[in-house]
Amino acid sequence: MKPLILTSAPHIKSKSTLQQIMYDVALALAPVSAWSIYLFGWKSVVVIVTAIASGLVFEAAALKIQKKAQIMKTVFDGSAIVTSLLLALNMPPASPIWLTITGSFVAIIIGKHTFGGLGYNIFNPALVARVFLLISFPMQMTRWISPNGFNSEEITVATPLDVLKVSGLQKMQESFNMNDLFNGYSTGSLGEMSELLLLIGAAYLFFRKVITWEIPVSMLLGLFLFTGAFYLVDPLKYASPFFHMVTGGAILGAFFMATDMVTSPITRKGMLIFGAMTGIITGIIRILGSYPEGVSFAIIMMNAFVPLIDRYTKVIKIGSDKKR
Amino acid sequence: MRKSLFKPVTFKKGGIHPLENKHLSAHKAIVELPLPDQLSINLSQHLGKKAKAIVEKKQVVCIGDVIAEADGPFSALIHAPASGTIKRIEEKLSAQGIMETTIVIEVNKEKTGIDRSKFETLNEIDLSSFSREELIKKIQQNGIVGQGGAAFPTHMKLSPPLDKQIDVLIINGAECEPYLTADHQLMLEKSMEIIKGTLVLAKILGVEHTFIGIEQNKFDAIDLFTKILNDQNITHIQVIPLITKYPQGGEKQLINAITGRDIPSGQLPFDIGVVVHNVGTAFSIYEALYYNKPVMDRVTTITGFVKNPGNFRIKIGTSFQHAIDTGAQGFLDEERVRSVINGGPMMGQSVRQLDVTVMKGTGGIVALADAEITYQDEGPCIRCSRCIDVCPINLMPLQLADDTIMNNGKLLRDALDCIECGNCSYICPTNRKLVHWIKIGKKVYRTWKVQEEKFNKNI
Amino acid sequence: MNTIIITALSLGLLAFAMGVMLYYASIFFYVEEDPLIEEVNEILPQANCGACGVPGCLNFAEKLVKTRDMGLFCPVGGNDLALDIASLMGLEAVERSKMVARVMCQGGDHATRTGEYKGIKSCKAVAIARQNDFTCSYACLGYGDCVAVCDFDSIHIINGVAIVNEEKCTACNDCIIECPINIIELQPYDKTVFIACRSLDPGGPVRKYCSVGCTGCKLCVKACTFEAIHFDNNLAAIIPEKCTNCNDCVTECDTNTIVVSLKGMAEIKESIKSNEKVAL
Repeated sequence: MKPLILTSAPHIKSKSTLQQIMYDVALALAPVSAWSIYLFGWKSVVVIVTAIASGLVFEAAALKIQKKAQIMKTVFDGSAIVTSLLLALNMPPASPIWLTITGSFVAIIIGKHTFGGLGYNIFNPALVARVFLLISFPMQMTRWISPNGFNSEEITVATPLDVLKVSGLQKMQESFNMNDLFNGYSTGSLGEMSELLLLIGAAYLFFRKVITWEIPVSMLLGLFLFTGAFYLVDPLKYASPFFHMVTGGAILGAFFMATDMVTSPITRKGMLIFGAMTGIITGIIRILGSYPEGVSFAIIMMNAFVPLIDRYTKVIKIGSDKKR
Repeated sequence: MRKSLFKPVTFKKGGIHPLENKHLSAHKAIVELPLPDQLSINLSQHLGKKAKAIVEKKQVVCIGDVIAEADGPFSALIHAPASGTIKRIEEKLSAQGIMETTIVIEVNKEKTGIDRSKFETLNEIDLSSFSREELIKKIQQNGIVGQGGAAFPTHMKLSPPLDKQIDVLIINGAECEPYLTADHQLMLEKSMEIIKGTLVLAKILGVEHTFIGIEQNKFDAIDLFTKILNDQNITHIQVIPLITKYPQGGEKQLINAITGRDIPSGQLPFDIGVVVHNVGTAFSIYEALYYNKPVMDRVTTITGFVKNPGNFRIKIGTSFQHAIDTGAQGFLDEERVRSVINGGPMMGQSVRQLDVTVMKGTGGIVALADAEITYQDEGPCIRCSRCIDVCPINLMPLQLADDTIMNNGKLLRDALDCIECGNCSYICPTNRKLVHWIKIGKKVYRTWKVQEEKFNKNI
Repeated sequence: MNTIIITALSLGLLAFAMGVMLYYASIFFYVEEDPLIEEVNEILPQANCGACGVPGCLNFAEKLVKTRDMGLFCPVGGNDLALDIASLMGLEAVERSKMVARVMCQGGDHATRTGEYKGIKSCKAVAIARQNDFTCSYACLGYGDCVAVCDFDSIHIINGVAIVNEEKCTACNDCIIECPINIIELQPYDKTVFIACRSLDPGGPVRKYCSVGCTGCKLCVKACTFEAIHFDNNLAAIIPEKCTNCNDCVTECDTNTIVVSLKGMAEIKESIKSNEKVAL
C-alpha cells in the first residue's frame, strides 16, 4: 500500500474548476463570434485568431519570465483565451494584424501580468487594451466597415453612437432601425453586432451560475435611468434610453466585461453600487462627453473603486452584534 | 406511517449539496465487530482536559472498569471496553494526529464474553424517581460524551450556569456529512431507546419543547419516529424534517433551522436557551440508565473504497486496520487506496497510519481512492465570491485567507467564528485551502492579541 | 529674457519665503527632548526586531534614557554595544553572555516519513492541521517558516532540516516564537555541545525512523564526568551551566545525535561536504 495522503479537511471537492468557468464564458461568446464571422468573413477570423494566438504566446512568455511552475497547464486554464476573445470582440472588424497583436500585448502583459497575474489585476485587461488602442491609434480603432461577408471590399460606415454625437438625433434615427440594431445588423466592433446573441450567451452564463444578476441589471438600469432622464427633458435632442441599451458596448459590457470576477466587487451590495455607477458614468460620457461611447472608460474607472466598495459593503456575519 | 406534521426547514444562509455517497452503507444493519487482540485507548477521548490513567502495567481489568478518571469537571471518565491485562501505557499517535498518552489493553476474549453479561440485563427504571442531579451524576459516571464528533463531556452541557434559561432541547439526527450513515441506522434500529434517552435529557433540562431534527434523506427515520411518538402519545417531543443540505447538522445551523435563533459570536447555545445533543448521545444515556452500561463502544460507518461498507459497533480503542479488515473485509484495491479519514470527508482528519484507534467521537472511517482525491496545488484567488455564498456563518473566507497569508492579525477577529465546515474549500474553483488558512488565521489572531497586550503594557 | 528673469525672481522669492517659514516653524514647533536619546539611537543597529522587548530601536533608546536601566539589553549589538551605550550614558554596562538559537533536530533527510502531506507548504499549516508526515512527531518539519521570519539571514533549511548560523544569530527570538512545534531553543554561544533531538519515543522506534535520533541509550550520561547531562523520558539533554565543552559525550554517542555546534556558514558547508561525524 502506498503511503497514505494527508490533506487538511475537507478531503473532497466540488467539480467546479477555473477551466470550467472560463470555457463557459468562451462558449457564451461563441454565438456572437460566429455571427461576426458570418458578417465580416475572413477579416473577423483574422482578428479573433490573431488575438487568441498572440494572447496565449504572451501568456506563456510572461509565465516563463516569472518562473512559474506548470506553464502549459496555466496557459490553457482559459483565462488568457477569454481575455483575448473579449479583446477581439472589442476591435473593429478591419483591424490589421499588428493592431490586434499590440492590443493582445497590452492586455496580457500590461493589463494582467504586471499586476501579478491572474487574480491580482485591478483593471479588466481586455478593456485596458481597448482603451490603450483607442487613445494611441484613434484612426484605426474607429474605422468601422459595413458587413460584407467573405468579400474583400470595404465600405466604411459610422456607428449609431458616432452619428448621434456628430450629426444629432434626427440623422441617427433616419440611418438606423432599432430592431436591426438589436438583432444583429448594427455597426461597430465585432462584439457589438447582435445584442440578441449576446443575451443568449448571457442566459447560458446565468444558467451555469458564472454570473449573477446584480451587475448587469444595475448597470443597464443605471444607464437606462440616466439617459431616460435626459430623454424625458428633451426627446428631440436626446435618444431614447432603449436605444442606448442596444447600441455600443452596453450589453457586451454589462454581461461580459463588468462582470469579470477578478475586477468586480465580491459583495452583492457592492456589485449593485458598482453596476449602477458604471451605467451612470457610461451615460455621462455618451451624452455629455466628447467620446461617442463610454462603456470601456466607465468600467475601468469603477474598477479602481472596487477595493473601496468591498471595504464599505462588508457582509455582516451571523452572530455579529452589528445591525445590517 | 404518519408523516411529520411540520414543513421541512433549513438554515438561512449558505450550504452546499455534495454527492452523498450514503448508498454504500445505507440500511446496512449494525454489525458488532469481533473483538481485536489489543485495544489502545488514548486519554484524550473528549474535549477538555485529558483523563488521568488510574491503572498500571500488568494490572488485570474487567470490562466496564474505570481505567482513567476525569481531571476536573471539564473532563470525562474512560472505561475498559473489554476484559484483559494492561500491556503498557505509552505515547502513541491518535486518530486525530497528535501524540497522546495511550493505555494498551491485551484483550482476554473469553473473559470479556463472560464479564459482559452484567451489562446485558435490562432494568426498567422509573424516571420520576431520579432527581436531576442523580441523572447528571449517572451520565458523568458512565463517561458519556457527545457522539456527534466533537465529544464534549455531556454532564457539562447539562449543567449550564444557573442564570441561563433553557427552553429548547434539540436532538441532532441530521448526520449531514457525506458517506456517513451510522446515526441513520441507529435511528432505525434503536428508535424507542433514543426516545427514552431523549426523555431523560428533557427531564434533566426541564424543557417544554424537544425537537428531533432529521434530514429529509432519512425519510424512513422521520416516519418511524413520528409514528412512535404518536403511538406513545408523547406530545412534547416533535420530529422536525430538515432540508438535506450540508452542514445542516452543525449546532448553529440546526438551531437556526428549528428555532430561527442565532448564537451571538463567541457565545454558546445555552446563552440563547438551547441545548443540542446527538442521537448517539441520547442512546448512550439510555444504555447508561437502563443497562448500567458505560461508554465502551460506538456505531461507526466504515465506507468508501472498501469491500463491505457498512455500519459497525466498534469497541473504543480498536485499530482502524482491524476495523477495516474484519468489518469491511479490507480495501477494494490496496494499491489504489490513497487516503483514510477519521470522521466524515468534510471535517474529518486524514490518518497517517492504520494503527490509530477508534475514539468516542469517531463517527466514520472513510477510505478514498485515486479518483475521489482531487488534490491539486492552490491557484490564485479569482474573487469569484462563491465562498461567501456558501458560508453558513456569512463570513468572507477569501478575505480571511488573504489576511492570514499577509499575517495581518488585527483583521482576523472574524476567523474565530468559523465553524470549519469546509464549504468554502469545497467550492473554490482554484483549489485554495481556505479552511486550512482560516485555521492558521485563528492562531495568527490569538498570537497578535497576546503580542498587542504585551506591547501595550511595555510602552 | 524678461520671462526668465521674472520666473527666476518669483521662484527665488517663493523659496526664500518658505525657508523663512520653515525656520520659524522649527522654532515654534520645537519638541524638548533629551539629546542623549538621539545619541544612543545613533549607535543602535536599527534592526527594529523587538528582541529587547521594546518595539523599535528609537523606543529602546527612549526607554533606556528615561529609566537609566542598564538591564535593558540589545542582543543584536551584544556586549560591544552595551559597553558603548554605557560609556555614552556614564553608567556601568551589564555584561551578558551571547546567546544563540539552536534547532533541536537533525532529522530532515535522515528521517523516515509515514504518509505524504499534500497541502500548504508551511510548518505552521502542517502543525495546525496535525498532518505531520514524518514518523517522528518531534521532527523539524522543514518547510522554513523560521527562515521566512528571520531578519538576520541566520537560519536556513539544509538537507530538509533547519540549522542556525551562530555567527549571525542575534537571539532576537523570532524563529523561536514562529516554530509551531517549539524545537528551537536559546542556548549560550560559548557552550558548544548540544543534543539535537527532542524525541520522547523509546529507542526501538527511534532507531527505525531516524538515523540521528536520541535512542535513550544513556551512553552520554555515563561518559560525562561533570554530571552535565539530564535524562528523562527517553531523551538526553545537556545542562549548559555544568558543561565544559570536553566533547566526551560527542565521542560516545553512536547515533551522532550530540553535536558540536557549527559556528558559521563556512563550517556548515564544510561539514556537509566532508559528511563528517556531525550529521549535517
